[in-house]
Amino acid sequence: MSKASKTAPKAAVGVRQSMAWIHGWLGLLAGWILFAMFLTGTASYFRPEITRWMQPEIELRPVSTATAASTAVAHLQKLAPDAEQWFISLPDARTTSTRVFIRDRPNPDPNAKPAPRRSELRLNPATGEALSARDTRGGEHFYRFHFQLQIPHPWGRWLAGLCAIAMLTAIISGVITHKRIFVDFFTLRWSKGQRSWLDAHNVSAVVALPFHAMITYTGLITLVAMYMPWPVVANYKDMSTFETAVFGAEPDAEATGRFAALTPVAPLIAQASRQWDGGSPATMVVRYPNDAAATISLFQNSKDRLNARGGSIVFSGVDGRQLSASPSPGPAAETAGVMLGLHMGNFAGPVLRWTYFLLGLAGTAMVGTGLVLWTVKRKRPNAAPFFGLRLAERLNVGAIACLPVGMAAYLLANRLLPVALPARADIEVSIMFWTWFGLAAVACLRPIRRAWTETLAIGAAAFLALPIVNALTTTRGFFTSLAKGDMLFPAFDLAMIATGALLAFASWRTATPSARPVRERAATRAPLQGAADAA
Amino acid sequence: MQLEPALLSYAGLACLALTTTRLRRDIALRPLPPVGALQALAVAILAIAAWQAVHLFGPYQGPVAFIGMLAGAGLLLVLLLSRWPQAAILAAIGASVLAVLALTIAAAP
Repeated sequence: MSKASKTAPKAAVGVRQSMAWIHGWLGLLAGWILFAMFLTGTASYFRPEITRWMQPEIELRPVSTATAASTAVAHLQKLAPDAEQWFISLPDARTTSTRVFIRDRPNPDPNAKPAPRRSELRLNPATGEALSARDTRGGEHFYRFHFQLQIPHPWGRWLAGLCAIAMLTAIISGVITHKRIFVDFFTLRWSKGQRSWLDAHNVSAVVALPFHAMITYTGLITLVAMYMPWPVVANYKDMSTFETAVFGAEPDAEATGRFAALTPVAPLIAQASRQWDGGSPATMVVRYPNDAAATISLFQNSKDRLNARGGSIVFSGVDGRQLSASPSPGPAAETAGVMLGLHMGNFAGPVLRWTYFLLGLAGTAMVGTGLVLWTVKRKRPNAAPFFGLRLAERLNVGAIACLPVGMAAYLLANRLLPVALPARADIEVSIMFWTWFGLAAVACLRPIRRAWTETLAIGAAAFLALPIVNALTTTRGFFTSLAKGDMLFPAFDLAMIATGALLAFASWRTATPSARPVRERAATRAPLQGAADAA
Repeated sequence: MQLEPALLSYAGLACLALTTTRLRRDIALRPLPPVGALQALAVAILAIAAWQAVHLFGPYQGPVAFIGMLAGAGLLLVLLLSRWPQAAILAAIGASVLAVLALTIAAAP
């Protein structure tokens, strides 16, 4: 008995220590990328809204899905009646314009050069007229960067996957390492150096733990077929056979070459909506329009449903007959769809989307405080920091303080670059990265504490400048928009001001480490301080 | 209004926070209810919050909404407690009043 009682605590300490080692090192190595993934991923919960903000020329009133589909088809009939396929992304309350892609039929002459790919068109859903707006990647850029990291395919996704695995490992090892999860649940002490960073890391991690675990796991699982293709490879001839088996996609028929007028689409949308218990389509794909073999496929949107993958119905494009419908998904497909839905949060209305956003910020804070904690823990007073510590400190400044500046620069570039500049969308993206990495490099020239203060202050200034620049360069400034009843732009301005204020607060805190010294606090808030000391 | 689960989660978690030794000793509000009563109250309020989440967001999104709002309210509570503990607890009373008002209005014919 005595032997057992001696070894048991020793083993427990050993496990906790090794978990702490894994937690610290995996967290550090993946942390800088994870911070960027968390922050841009969190911004992506407002992907359509960011895109709308970045194309201020487009100001539309919502119309019914059937109207938008009909006007888009009328426009495409004029523009490309002989296309192979029209891909029509229908508007909703968040994405107000109709987006269409046209794929031309391949030239029958095998020696002919393939026709250049047509670019995406945006249409006014009420009239079907093409909209012209500044070229931008919009919110899509943050979303893509969040899991592709602006690295050529497939390496970006692989790196993101590795970081997600590190994150999952860090979550599990972190929970095992944390001795006082429940006791310290409500504990956050300011101005106490390492203790404060540990508190902040613990609180941001523990209080939102279900979210962090869910978002990491579902993020990883979303790309699992890419990371682990072998079950599909072993059981199916190719990827399309697998997709047909799981999602019930029908093989495409060939065009007949005989003309047949395309059936009106509005009744098909009404019919689909009835079958989906009031759901509406997000996408309409018309294959071989005006051919006797034309088909019109409708794909359900994921609004209000946890499963991100909705059903689909294929109609004949000639007489509107229903040809097929996707089978109700099996348990595996349903699970995969729900995981994807939980990750992307497309089902969420405004209240839940903001909840997602705030929890995403908590995740970003968890990674950021963890990164800072790693360096604070290793700093020795009166000793020069070793190379690894200096490197980690610089990378922390580069990731935590400089990425927000890059994101603000991306938004500022959208307003300040000439509207008709060629390759404008790419330049906006380049400006984000040049600002981010350039500022991180310049910050290396400054002493570390000044580097924090200055980069955070630049970030604050950049975000606070956004509402002003927006008001000066567009007709949709805060008060003008408010007067028109357009809530998107004022809300965006307020979010930018809040972000700027947060960065300004952080800058101020790093600038004045002794602004609220422990002793002074002890004098003004004696009871709290005493308790903290006792603990 | 859809925010009832968040308001109630805040109130429920504030009750739980008031059961911790540190806060009981430091907070200037007196008299404090006994720990057992606060725990029971917290369970009751959080149960109503969960029920409200399912009621407002449906059986599938409800649990997601409850867990998310519980975490969000928890973060806000901890941040406020760390700076202004008394105000954080008083805000919990305000949140409960708001939630009860919203529930009463929703229940009115």
